[in-house]
Amino acid sequence: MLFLVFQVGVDRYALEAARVTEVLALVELRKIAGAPVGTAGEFTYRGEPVPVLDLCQLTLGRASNLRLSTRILLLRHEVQHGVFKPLGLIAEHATELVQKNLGEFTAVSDELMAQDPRGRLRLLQLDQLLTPELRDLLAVYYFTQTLEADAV
Amino acid sequence: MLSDFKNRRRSATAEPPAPTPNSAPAVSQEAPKPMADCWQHIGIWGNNSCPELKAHLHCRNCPTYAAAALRLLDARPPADYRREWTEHLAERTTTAAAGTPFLVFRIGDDWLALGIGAMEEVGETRPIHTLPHRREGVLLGVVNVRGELLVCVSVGRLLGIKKGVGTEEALPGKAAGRLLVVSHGGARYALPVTEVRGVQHLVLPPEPPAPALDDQVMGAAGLSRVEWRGRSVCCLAEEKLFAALNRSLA
Repeated sequence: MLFLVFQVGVDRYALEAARVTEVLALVELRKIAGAPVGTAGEFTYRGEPVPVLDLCQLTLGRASNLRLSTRILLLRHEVQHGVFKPLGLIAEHATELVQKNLGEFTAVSDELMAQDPRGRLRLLQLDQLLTPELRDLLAVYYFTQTLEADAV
Repeated sequence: MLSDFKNRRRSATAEPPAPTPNSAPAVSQEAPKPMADCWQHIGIWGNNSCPELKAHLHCRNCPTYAAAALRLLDARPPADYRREWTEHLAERTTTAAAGTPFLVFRIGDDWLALGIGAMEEVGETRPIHTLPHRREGVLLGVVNVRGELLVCVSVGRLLGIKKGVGTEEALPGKAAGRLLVVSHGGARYALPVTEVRGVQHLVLPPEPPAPALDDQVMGAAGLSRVEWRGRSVCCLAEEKLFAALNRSLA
């Protein structure tokens, strides 16, 4: 299984590459009014608006650094069972891919970790990161999108 | 540790040694550290004294060099970089093929299409070894696909196509026949077909019209009929097809 490797601060994280549609440059984001902490904004991807969360803001409480290697991972986020919506995640040092088995990740407290030649690799569990406020925001966001799409 | 060793020569001559982090480089607010360019000093563009060269032959094969290349991406984006990407990604792509990819093939006179998700390979026809007491029905026998025996079934008979493959007269020329290897739910089957026209992007109607009453193929496992290059192609529903297959094999 192929995993995308990136960093949040100094910690290295892995995310199943199958969930990622595209890795994009850190584009300019529009702010979402009244969005909770962790949301970076939204941008237009191929004509469709996509909300973006900042992984550094979510876990470390600071915005991601503006670097070439800081990129947006465009995910297919499962909002409900079988319903997928695009979601962007800002990740630092998103430059690598590794081949690993899911079985190599072992549970350490409530995280899944694997050993790697360059140190520990954590599996990104997005469901744990999403606070109830963020879930609400995404639900409302996607719902308004469908309404607007129907209106057009 | 390795990079410490490689930089030893350079740091002795040039600059005071910078503290090298022995874990992954931390992302910090200040600008990235100057690059340790060991390849210019002890590597292939230097005096070739690096012991790692024995293993990697050239600096470009060395992980230290690769890691240094990745550090180039820690630079700040140039002016207009973000704006250009923002504009580029906002545009709708018009070149992307519309529709769902299907493998289009022919059995007898009927054109069929099956989603490529189930498709494993398209190969040459192979001799079918019949099984004793199973002369009738959908099961044609077994075929050898690269050393693995696969159950060979006639989709033509399954769907009630009149001149199905498996009857001799259906094959106009030997070269035209193809063997599809498909898999569904862990089981693999070999399906002989008359002709394969490759992967085509077909646009399925959102609400397929009710099939004609005498349309046996649509009734058996059809999803929808679409026009493709002047022909009426029956897109097969994967679930229905394999359910029908399993029923008839049981």
